[in-house]
Amino acid sequence: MKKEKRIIIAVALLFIVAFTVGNNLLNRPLSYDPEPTKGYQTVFARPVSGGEMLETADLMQTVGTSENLKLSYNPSLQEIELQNTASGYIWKSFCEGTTLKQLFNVTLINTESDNTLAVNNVEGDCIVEAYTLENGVSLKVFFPSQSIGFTFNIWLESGRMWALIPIDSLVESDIFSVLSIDMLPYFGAAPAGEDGYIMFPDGSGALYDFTQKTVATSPVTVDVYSDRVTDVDELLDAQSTGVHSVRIPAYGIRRGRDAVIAYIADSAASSAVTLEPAGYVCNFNRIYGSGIYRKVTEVVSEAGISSYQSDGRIGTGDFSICYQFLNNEKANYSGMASAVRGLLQEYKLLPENDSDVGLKLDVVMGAEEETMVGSTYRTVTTLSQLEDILSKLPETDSKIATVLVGWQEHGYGLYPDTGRAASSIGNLSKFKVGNGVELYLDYHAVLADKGRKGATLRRDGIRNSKRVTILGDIRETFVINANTQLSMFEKILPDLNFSGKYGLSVSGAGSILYDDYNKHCGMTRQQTANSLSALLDKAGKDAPLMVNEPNDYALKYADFVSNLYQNSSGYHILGESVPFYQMVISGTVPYSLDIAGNLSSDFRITRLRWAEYGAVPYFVVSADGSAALSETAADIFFAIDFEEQSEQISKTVTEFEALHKKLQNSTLCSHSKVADNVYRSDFENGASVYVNYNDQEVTVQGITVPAMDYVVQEVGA
Amino acid sequence: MKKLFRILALVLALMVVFSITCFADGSDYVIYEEQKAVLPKVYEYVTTITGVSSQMNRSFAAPNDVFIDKNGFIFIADSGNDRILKLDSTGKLLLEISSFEDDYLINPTSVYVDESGRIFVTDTGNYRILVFDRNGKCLEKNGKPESDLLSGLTIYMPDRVVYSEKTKYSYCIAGKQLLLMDPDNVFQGYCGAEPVDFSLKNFFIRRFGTQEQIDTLSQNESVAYTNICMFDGDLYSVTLGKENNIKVLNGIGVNTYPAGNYGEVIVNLEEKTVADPEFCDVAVEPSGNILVAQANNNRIYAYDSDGNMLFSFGGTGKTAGQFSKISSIAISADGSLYVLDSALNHLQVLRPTYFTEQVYAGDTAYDNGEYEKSLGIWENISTLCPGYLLAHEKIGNIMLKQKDYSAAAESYKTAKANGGYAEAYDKLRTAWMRDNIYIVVIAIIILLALLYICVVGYRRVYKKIEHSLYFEEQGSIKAFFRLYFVQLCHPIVCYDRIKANRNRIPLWVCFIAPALVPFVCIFRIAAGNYAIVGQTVSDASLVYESAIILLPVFLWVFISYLVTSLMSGEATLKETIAAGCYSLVPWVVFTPIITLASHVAGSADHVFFVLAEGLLIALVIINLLIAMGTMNDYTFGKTLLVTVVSLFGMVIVCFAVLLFSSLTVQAINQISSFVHELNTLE
Repeated sequence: MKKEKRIIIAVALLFIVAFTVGNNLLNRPLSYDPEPTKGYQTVFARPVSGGEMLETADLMQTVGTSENLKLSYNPSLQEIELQNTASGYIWKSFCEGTTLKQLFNVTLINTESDNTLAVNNVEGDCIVEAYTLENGVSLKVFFPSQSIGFTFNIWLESGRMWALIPIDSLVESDIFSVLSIDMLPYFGAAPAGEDGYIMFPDGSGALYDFTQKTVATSPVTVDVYSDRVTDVDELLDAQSTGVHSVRIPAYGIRRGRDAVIAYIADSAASSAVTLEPAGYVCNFNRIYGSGIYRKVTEVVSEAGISSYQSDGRIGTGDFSICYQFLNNEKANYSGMASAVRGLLQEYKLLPENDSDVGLKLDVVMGAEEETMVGSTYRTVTTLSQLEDILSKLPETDSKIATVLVGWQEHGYGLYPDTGRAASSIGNLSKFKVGNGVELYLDYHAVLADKGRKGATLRRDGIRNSKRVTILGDIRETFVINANTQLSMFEKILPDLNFSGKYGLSVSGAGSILYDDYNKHCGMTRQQTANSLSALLDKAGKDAPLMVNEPNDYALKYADFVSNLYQNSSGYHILGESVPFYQMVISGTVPYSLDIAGNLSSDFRITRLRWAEYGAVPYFVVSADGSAALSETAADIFFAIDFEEQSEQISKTVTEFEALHKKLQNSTLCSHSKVADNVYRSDFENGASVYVNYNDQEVTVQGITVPAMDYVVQEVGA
Repeated sequence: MKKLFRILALVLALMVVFSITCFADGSDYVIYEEQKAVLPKVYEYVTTITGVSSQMNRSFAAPNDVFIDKNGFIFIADSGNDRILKLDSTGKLLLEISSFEDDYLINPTSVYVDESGRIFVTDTGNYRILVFDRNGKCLEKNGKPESDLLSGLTIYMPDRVVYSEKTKYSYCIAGKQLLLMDPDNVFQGYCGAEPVDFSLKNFFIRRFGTQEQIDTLSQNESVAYTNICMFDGDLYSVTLGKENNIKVLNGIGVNTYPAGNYGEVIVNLEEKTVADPEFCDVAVEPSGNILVAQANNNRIYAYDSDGNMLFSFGGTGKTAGQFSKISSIAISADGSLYVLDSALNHLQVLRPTYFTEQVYAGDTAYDNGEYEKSLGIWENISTLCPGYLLAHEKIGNIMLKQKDYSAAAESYKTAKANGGYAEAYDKLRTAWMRDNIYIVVIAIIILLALLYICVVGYRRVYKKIEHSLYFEEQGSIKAFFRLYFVQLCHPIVCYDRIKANRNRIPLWVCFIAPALVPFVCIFRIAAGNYAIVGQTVSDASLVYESAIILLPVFLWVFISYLVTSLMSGEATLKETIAAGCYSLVPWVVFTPIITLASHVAGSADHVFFVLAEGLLIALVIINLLIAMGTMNDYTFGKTLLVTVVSLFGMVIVCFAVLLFSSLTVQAINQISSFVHELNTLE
């Protein structure tokens, strides 16, 4: 009996060991090598070292000049001034007459007590030594009490001011670690009531007017590119509730007839932008960028005592911001957009695509539904019906970008995308693409549902800083490690574009960024961006590529940009939304906005928005209509019956083709509000579009614009 | 509860699904017939009023109430700052009331302005209601009214007040009770108490319960009012709890609003908790639709005068159109909605979108009897959003008024409005029969003739088959096929033949009847009259529909076999199973006939349909009893005894299965959490 017992225990132990080992071997994640994708990260300007120490005399010393800029530094007071010699205006790193003159704020964490601590160069003990740089100054910063130090370089180059903290200059102690560094937090800070505004890069862009009477409103801080994924439900919920991301990490300040636009260049993937209105801490409005070195989470004990835990690993590299200075008629958000466009073009971050697209049409092919006999793919548009739909569209000189949505065997809204087409829609490889039609297959590159073929949570899902997989509670969805995603994509790519017949419309890869703390294949947000950029690069190699909601690093791969935000998140301190993003990319790539004409609450407004923002009209249709999609994941498409919509679509296509001919695919170079609910968009070819959102006719600048309509003032008219 | 969790989890999951890429304009939705449908944006953000400059540059501090008077002026009870503010529509300060005649406000929680411009304020911290003139001069200070009826209200803390122009009485909420006061501040009674029906449980508690239990009972019975507003002479109110939580009280305090559960139950999947809706305010828009603010999910729900949900919007957040803590809502004469947020300390102004204006216009036109106009509007709405089923129901209502019953039935069916469909179908059937009475008569004669032929024919065929079963085809497969027919005519013969051929039973032939059950289930739902069947194929689960027929039969078969084995029964398991299968034959054969016949029936004949289906089930049960008696050679008395024992056995088995399944679920949960732990290991 004893022997039998031993055998049973031994077998049970063997089984457990075999199961654990087998499970580990089968679900071992791909190891990650950052080198192959490192080249996808853009490296911006770097200073040329001078090496001489500056005298600590109490006066402003000119440390650099470039084109119309003069950079000065006061080593004794640790103040920086930048003079725009074209206008004579001096931008200061401090608020005159106050003690608000920090060049940086550093947030630290005490790893022993788990408490956070803020230090800067003004309060407490901080040693700052200034050395010369070519056209700038290098500040060696050290906090003796915390044994923390880094180098802060500021210099001028090609008419721009750059500020950089090299990662290899960062010194940390065993006790204190750096969480974040706010760079030039008071640069350009403006008192309340002054003529001017801050351009905040949330969504399409929004303005915060210095004259608005807001009272004691708390600051708004947003992560650049996307929120940090610690909870998939929160990530998805944030999108559904209209919280937009910072897609282009640029922010600007306009003061009178001068303006500055800052662009977070290196390590934007691990940065944040903060807007602090006057009246909260001080009576100055300010905006600044911060490098996020480590993520910190607040932990509240059962006794209600809160402490902080940092994730340990440094998640960023060199951190730099580029400042460009504008004056006179360029000192506005249009000028800011133009400056950012110039910078991005210089670093080849924008595409060069002048193709003329007259319509973006999403065609819903099918979705999975639960029936009496289990779940099945419900086809709402077959390929022959698609042919019929396309044949009914008006003939145009411009292309029709058609995206097949829910074409894969799991239908719309379920993940991961495996590239296997639903058989009931027809044979994709035999489908004849008509002239003037560019077909795209919808592909989502980030999410996966637990239990579905193609990805497993344990092997492919990302992990948080405690190395636990991140899985949604409401819907069991997880985020796939970017390196794994790239590898999966490479395997299915040959089957996806059907010998170049179809392009891809990629979602997620250009818009969601995340850390992965997996021991085997951990990745920082920047590394994730690199891998997903590689994915987009490969996706667009042999066929056209459409990128949905792209962050700026993904723009250069796109032949068409879709789902651009048409407004900001609507934080209450912000004023009107402006088409900042659209102006940056205008003329370099065709784009459509995020709300389809037939799914908007008021088509009249959506149509006007397309005209105002220079966007391509966008509709979502299917052959069998919305009723066929009830109780599927695609029931969000509440009005997509093509028969119902075809007249509206045809009319819109014809109307916008005429408009685009007048605008000649030129850049949207200026945008302004000319009256209440009346906006003027100026294009590079000299044409202007006046858009009137009022219910009555309006005459502005000698142009009469009918109610809820627009008028094009052509070149020479 | 589990089902509720499943439904709500699905709803939440759908919310997540549509969030992945933004195609539509917002995440507003409607819940109709327990289904959630995404809608175009219903209210759009206009502006935010964050505070006002007065002696100090102060923002609002925990503001509690907003009121818009007939001139469009905004009144705010800025409770945290102990003041009442009057603003113009741009947020400019016109009047501030904080102190007066050496007196001052403490925590004023609500404000109301009557037609003449008098400002009523609940000065909650001072336990009184104040009345000011339009310039802020105090006219009245009304403390707790003297009345024995108010003895239960030990601390009088009025927190809402409105005034009726019709009756000149004022209503206030104090201690969640709705109090009615005359112009002299004399208490006139409680208003809007819920009528209490007789309940045996309550009767026993009152008779035999402890004082604590009796107190709990009285708490349960009283209605806890949270807010009120006056519109067109009626008092609109919201109460705590999920039942009848919106009330419209007429002049004599009777609720005229349809009973129902309004708002949304809040499910916390992580903590596995469910919370009832907590309405914090109610407002009525100019065309009479009701908007209520739910505090525990920061959403606003709109209902029409019939209690139909029109839409829901808002949600928790800090961006435009979202709220952190709604404390009050108000609607101006132009339809703009003002939402006061006591956490973010600001007032958001929203306006209805084109879609919403259409919904309101459609309702108004219908209420005014302009059916053509209303029809056009609702058709436009259904084009804008085909998934908005209420639009189809409204179209159905109009079509019914216009006596286009066919179109009405079609619209009701699209809207899944069972009641409306039944009414339209009844009228359609009546109209058709009236117009085609000759066809009806001829059809009845033909049916009777067919019935006669069938009866005569079946007797001849049956005699032939019976003879062959006894003398020619004993035990052959063909004979067992013929038993299907015999079962319908003479069940005892059927079971007798099974018993006689117990060694030669081909079970696969017997299982044809149970195998047909799922197909019949599908046919019943797909081909039945929607008004009577009440569900569509997409709503139904094949497994569930089949299981409710097959499970009890086979459970009976196995339990009765066990019991008869112990009680000197003769039947083998094989023949018991075979008999059980044959017992289903009447259900399989006649259900399709009843299904087809349901198309002739109207809603009034629903009872006949239910009766017919019940009869078929009864026939199956009788067949099972006959089978047991016949095959075991039991007397009637013994059959009854074995039946009772078998039923008892079934109950025990069900209990054991439940116990086993709950233990299994727990074991599975343990294993899955173990696997999950393994999965999180690297």
